[in-house]
Amino acid sequence: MDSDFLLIRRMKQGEETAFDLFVHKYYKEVLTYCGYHCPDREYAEDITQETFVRFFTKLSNYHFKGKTKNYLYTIAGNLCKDYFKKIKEIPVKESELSSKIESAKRPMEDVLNKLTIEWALKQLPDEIREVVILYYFQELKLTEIADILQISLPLVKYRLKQAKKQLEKLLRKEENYESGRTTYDL
Amino acid sequence: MNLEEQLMTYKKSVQKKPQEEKMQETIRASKEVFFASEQEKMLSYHEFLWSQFKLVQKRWWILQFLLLSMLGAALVSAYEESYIQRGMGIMAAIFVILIIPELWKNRSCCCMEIEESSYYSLRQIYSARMVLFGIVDVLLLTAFCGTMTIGLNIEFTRLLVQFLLPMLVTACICFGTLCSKHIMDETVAMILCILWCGIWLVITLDEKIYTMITLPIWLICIGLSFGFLCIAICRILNNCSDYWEVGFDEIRIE
Repeated sequence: MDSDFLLIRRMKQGEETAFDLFVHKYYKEVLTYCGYHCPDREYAEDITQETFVRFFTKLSNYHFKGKTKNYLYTIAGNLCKDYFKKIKEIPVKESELSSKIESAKRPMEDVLNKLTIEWALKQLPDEIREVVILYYFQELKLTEIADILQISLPLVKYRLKQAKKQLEKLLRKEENYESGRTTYDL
Repeated sequence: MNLEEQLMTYKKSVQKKPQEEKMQETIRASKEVFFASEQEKMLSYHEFLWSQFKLVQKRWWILQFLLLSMLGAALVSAYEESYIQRGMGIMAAIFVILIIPELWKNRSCCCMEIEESSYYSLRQIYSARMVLFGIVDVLLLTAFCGTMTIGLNIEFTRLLVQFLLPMLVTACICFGTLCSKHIMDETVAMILCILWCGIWLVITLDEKIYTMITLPIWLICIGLSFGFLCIAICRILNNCSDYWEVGFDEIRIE
């Protein structure tokens, strides 16, 4: 029997320790997921908290079906979309500042890789980027991604294939640009 | 580095370690919002009982009423027939058997797990159902016993022995089987009740045995069966959450 089933039952009956267990169980995963969408840590934490708050607001109506984790991802995903709508109005430099300060402490190669991947991810269409985050970073199964995004499994596979193609193309382009610039500098 | 490796390196570089303080804040906010939303929805005891009343099939109460009416009519027509009075035990057993389908429906429909995951626990649902049956049956039996003792001048002790005792024993059998981890089928409960009816008939219709048992013995039997009934009901309320249709604690309902 799924342990979430029992945990949800206990939470519905108002057992307070069950709330602690549940939040501790999923907080990190949801925070990491939000972190991929929002470079600002505080925003990511706010969205994570809001994800749990939304989940618990509707808990009494929630009927255990499938994985609870997927449901949390769906809520977090929707909140991140809302965040993107807002962030578009804020100048890009401002939102990137905190992540750049944070990355200043890391080794140079890591920083370059991080910036390149971040740049490449930003070039991807939203729906394809979402699949990349869920598959590579959250390490979810394709069926789970289909469940979270409410799309068919073949479409998830197609998007993943497209993501690989586009990312490879973008990274190759970036690599060529970097090597060209280095040659020019020399 | 290939794409996968680059993505994995990126993944490691952006891993966020959750802060305990923020987690506690989330837990507090979650609890607050959950309890606030629950307070708006909470049903009072009366409302909960009423909602359960609407779910219980009323035909069993109608059948119980008809059964008592038939018994009353039989007693009126055969007022002096002591054997018919002693046969009331059969009717008492049938009266209780009529409760079985309603109390067993969670187990026979294999919906214990679904109900357990709902907001109200099975314990609350079973309690409400038993309270409802208790209220209706007490009303029906009070009316029946009142009419019989006042209208037909049948001694209350005779009603107690010939009607309420077999009824209590039948109820013990039903509730005992319902809270049993091994006997799952309602048919088994019915068969046991019918067997009990046979034993009861042998006791009451055999003049030799019947006269041997004095009133204090009957009263002790009533006390014992009432005590057992209370224990069985408590066991049902305590254990009803442990019966699952999927494997759990090695208990399974087929």
